[in-house]
Amino acid sequence: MTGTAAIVTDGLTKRYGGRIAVDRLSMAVPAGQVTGFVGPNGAGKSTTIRMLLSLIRPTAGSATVFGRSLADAATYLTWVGALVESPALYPRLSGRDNLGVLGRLAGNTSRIDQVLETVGLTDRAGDAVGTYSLGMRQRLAIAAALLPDPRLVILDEPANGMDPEGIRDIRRLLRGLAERGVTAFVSSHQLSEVEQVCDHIVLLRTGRLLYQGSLTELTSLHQPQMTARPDDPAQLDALAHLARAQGWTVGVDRDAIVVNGPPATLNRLAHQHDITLAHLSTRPLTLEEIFFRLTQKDGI
Amino acid sequence: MVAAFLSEMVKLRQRTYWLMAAVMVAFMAITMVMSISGAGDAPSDRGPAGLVLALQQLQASDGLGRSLGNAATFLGIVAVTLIALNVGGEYDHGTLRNLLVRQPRRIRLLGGKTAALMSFLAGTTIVTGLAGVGMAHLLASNVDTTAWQTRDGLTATTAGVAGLTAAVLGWASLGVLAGILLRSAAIAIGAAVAYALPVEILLTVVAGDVARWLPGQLFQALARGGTPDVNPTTALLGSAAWATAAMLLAALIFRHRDVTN
Repeated sequence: MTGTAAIVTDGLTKRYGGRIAVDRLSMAVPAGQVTGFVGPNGAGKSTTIRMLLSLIRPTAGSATVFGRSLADAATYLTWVGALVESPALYPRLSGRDNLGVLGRLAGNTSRIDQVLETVGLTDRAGDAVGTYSLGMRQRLAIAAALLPDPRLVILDEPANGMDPEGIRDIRRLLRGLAERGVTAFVSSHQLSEVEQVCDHIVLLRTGRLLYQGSLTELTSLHQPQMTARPDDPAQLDALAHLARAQGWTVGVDRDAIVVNGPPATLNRLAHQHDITLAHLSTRPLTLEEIFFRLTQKDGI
Repeated sequence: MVAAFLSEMVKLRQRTYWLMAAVMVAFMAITMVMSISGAGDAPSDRGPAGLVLALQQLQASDGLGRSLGNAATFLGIVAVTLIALNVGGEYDHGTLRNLLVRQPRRIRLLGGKTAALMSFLAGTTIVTGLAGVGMAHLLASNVDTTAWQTRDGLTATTAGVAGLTAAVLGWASLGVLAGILLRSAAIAIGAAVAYALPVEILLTVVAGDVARWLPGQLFQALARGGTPDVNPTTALLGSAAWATAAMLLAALIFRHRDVTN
């Protein structure tokens, strides 16, 4: 499956009156990988997901899922499992009956026990969902998404309400799905989680595509963050001045400066100005840092 | 559509539905107390509670069948509440999203869902009607029930239960429309009950000639085997027209409107 696209959108647009929720979105989600769908609130992630799930109709543009157009959603949705926004469940029915509702609708109830075990809810399957914690409801909603043995899972904020163990389980689940060739398209605000589990990123802001590609490529597009500490604290301001003169963005963190620039250049400059560096280190930007940079300005 | 029907049947395991069924039986009990124990020398129009027959009319072969129809408005309100709770609740809980992902052919989903709910209501109304027959016999210590036991009497009672069931299903179709149109259980129930009681009653007072064509009046006439204003055939055709129009409009909206809840 890897190498082909599971989801392709072309100029996909959704307007509500004068407000544009999704603006000419063209993206490709590779098959058999975990793709993170990232953007601030109101970026258009949920609207895009709803269009792909045939819950809302696009105003313009087109999309295909496994080569089938949105008009043929009845065909491709048999291969899709989805969790859209918060877990939507019947609180007075048991966990098992909630899955039974969806299983019967799809004409297949044979996987209910299996998916309950996958999400660790077998012991509570007979209890009313109204007695579940938020994390348990989230697990059950994920079980519902896995029920049709999907080729594509679309999960909107799957780690919401989860404890650290639950988040780790989601991570394992997503990796496990990708290893089996299942495509996972995961919308999330927990960027550290996205970073740990995703191969590919689609980044939206105000309905527009900001970036799509591999996570590695996105990281490499941004200068690593460098921390430099002068041996003599009195030279901190002078060091910061030198860095600013290079056009770099400079921050001061106690007795060190934090800049984005090549370490060799800074080291040479410091040496030329008789500043001895007691510490010089670099680290790649986290997805969260890149995310904030991208969403606070217009481009990469 | 069969899959949607079977899926909906799972939801009927919720206690809410059986509580509603119990409420229907309770309303029938109240109706029977009023209609049997309250029968006097002259008939008495009780508005939404129907027409309490004179004792002589009550003792006729169709007396029981006509009296069962007095429960139509109250059972109808329970039906419209139950349906609006179900349909509006799918929007409230967001569960409609899950259903539509599993069955994107919306008319099939709505058809199966409605068929399951209507089947439940039909069964519940028939059981409620039969319970009403039993209660009537228990309450009829001062009523001669001989005519009720005759072939004509049994036929009229059966027609009474059938008319009541049809009226309840008519109300239910309005519940489907309210749930889909308003996308909220609470708002749909409020609007449906407000219409069924104060609004339609006020309309019958201020515009009686026109008001007899309103759905509640036609459903009640259907359940009672006709009223002085509406004959049985008109009641049947008018009720069918309202129910069909409500279902078609509901289907049209459901088919085309975005699901944003």
